[in-house]
Amino acid sequence: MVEVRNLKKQFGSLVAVEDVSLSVKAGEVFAIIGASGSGKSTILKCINFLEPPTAGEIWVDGRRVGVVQTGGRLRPARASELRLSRAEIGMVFQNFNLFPHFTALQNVIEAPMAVRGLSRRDAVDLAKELLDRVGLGDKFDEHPRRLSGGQQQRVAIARALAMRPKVMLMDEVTSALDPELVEEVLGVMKTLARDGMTMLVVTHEMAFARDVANSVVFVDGGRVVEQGPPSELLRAPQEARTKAFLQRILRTDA
Amino acid sequence: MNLDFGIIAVVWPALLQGSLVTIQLTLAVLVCATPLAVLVALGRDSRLPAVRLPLAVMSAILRGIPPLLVLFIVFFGLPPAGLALDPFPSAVLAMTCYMAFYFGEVFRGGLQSVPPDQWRAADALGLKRSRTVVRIILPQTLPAVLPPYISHATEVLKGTALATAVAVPELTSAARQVFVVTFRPFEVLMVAAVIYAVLDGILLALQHAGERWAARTGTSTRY
Amino acid sequence: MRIDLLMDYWPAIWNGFLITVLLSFVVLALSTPIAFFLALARQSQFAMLRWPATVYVNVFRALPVLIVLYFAFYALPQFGMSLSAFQAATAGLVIASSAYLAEDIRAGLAAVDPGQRQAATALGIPYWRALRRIYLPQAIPISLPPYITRAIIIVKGTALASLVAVNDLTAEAVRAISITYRPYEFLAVAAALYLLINALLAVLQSLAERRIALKHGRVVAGPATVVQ
Repeated sequence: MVEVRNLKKQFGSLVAVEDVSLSVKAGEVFAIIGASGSGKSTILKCINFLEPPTAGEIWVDGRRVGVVQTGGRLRPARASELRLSRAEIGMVFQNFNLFPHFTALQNVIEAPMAVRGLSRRDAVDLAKELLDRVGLGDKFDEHPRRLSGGQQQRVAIARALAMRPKVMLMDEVTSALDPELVEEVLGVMKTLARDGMTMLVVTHEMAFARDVANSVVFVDGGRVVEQGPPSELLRAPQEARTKAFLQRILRTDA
Repeated sequence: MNLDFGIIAVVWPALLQGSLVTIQLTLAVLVCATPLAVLVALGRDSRLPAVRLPLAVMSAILRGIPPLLVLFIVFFGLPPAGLALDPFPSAVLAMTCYMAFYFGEVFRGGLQSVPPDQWRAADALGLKRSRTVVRIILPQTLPAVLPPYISHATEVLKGTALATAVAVPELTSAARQVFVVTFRPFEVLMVAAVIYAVLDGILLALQHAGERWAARTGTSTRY
Repeated sequence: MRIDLLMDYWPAIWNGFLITVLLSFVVLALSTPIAFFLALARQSQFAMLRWPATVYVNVFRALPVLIVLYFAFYALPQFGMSLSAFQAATAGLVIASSAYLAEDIRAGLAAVDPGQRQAATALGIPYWRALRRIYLPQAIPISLPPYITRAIIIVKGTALASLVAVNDLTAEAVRAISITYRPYEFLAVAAALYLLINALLAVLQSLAERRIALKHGRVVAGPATVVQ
């Protein structure tokens, strides 16, 4: 479903991501772990071209993102083409980034109406169904500031789902939450995983990675250090850097 | 349309003379308005209503009417009161009054950026009020005050063009004298514009230097 | 105080006041949309838009407004463009004002959380729609106070038009003084009328701020909470 080939991203002279290749199958939950500043969030942002990659290829559902082939030649995608690619890729941010002047419902219906051309009635039906699904059936008309962080993040998930994305990118979606609110968001993500949503999840929640992910990569210094099923990578890491990282995380978790 | 920038060879002495007057006027206003502005800043937050209220009223008036009108108030209003000033000092006086309140707001913001405990600490040590202000408080306002101070200084520089209305021979006035005679307003005004831009650029460079200094000092004094 | 003299010249002063109001209104009405597009152009990803807008804004903010007015009034005829005094003053003031306003509007747009842009982009919402529906509703409350502050400066700046032969409030006051030699009466009246315009703008500002605060449900300090 998602193929990342030899991805490189440079900010000025700083190389944030170097030679990263990933392959995510449909229905898979793919966890990316690593210290802050290791480049794991940058990888996600390159997948939907929020940060255009310096080099490498991104494929989602068999189509190249950000590059269009016309008559045997490759050219950068136009803004309108990029928009359509992005509409297929849902993204949820660490800081929610809800639109503060919209209600929960307005947050969810905006993009389906603007991009998918849904009528307001259809968009509202869809949004109510999705908000129900993330457990916010009674919060349609609340503005984000009246919602807890966990509730805001669930609205953000519903907003991304409303585009009927083929894959969801989750960028440290529980990092900005108070500890007691983390579980309600992870719960929604687990439900999504059970329903077969393909997800790339950048996370510090090792328990979530262990229980839900099909595959885990450890990223350090912008490179993939180690990759494997969680049962192997988290329990019996091969690389010294992975071991060191996991030890640090487990100590602070306990 | 035929432009003739050769005219510059003829008119540059007049424009240079005007530029010097513009610089003098700018400096004179800055020198007079700055200490006055400190007093305005202190007075506007004074505990005494007799000090605070008149200053608040004057601030509201001066900030609500055109600077050109302030200039005319000084220029036309003082002679009948028995105080006839030449154009240059009237321009300095008018702009000083006007800018003292603008700079006053800048300094007020700076004073409010100093933690109130600093006043209390100085009181506790038994320092005199004036010494507290000069030695303890004002130096601490500098990082917050310097960048907006210089950006207001460019307003003074640009504002000196108004003095042309009361026949001060500054740059804008000199340019007008020259193009009225040569019938080459575009070329002459271009030269004047470039001179203003250069003077402005110097102040801007000072501002950047000041901001860098403030950023360094500002972080090192915090804990 | 010579009230009788004031009465004699009142029609001329009133006329000058109307010209000042008209000039202020026309200048603000024209320079606001120009400033808006300049602000957008300065944020554009296209250098072709970004550079000219940046140069425009920085050049006209570096010059005395009077110099810009002189260009419009004295230099344009050199290029075969003869404008009336009012038109020239309008042109000069619009050119200068739009540069200043553009900077205030840009600051408002820049103050919107960059995460909003990321979210709108990730959802694939087209630029103009995101601008209208998402960025502007958040930028306008931020831009409004500096916008009104700038509008007051622009209103005061219209007095410069008196130096390029527009018979505005300042010009009429100065004319009355030079005929009657009674400076205080006419200076006071002119000052009062300028203060009136700017007081109205200040009231407008607090009304707008209150409306925005109400709409966004923020706690409003002062009497507004009593009204609620």
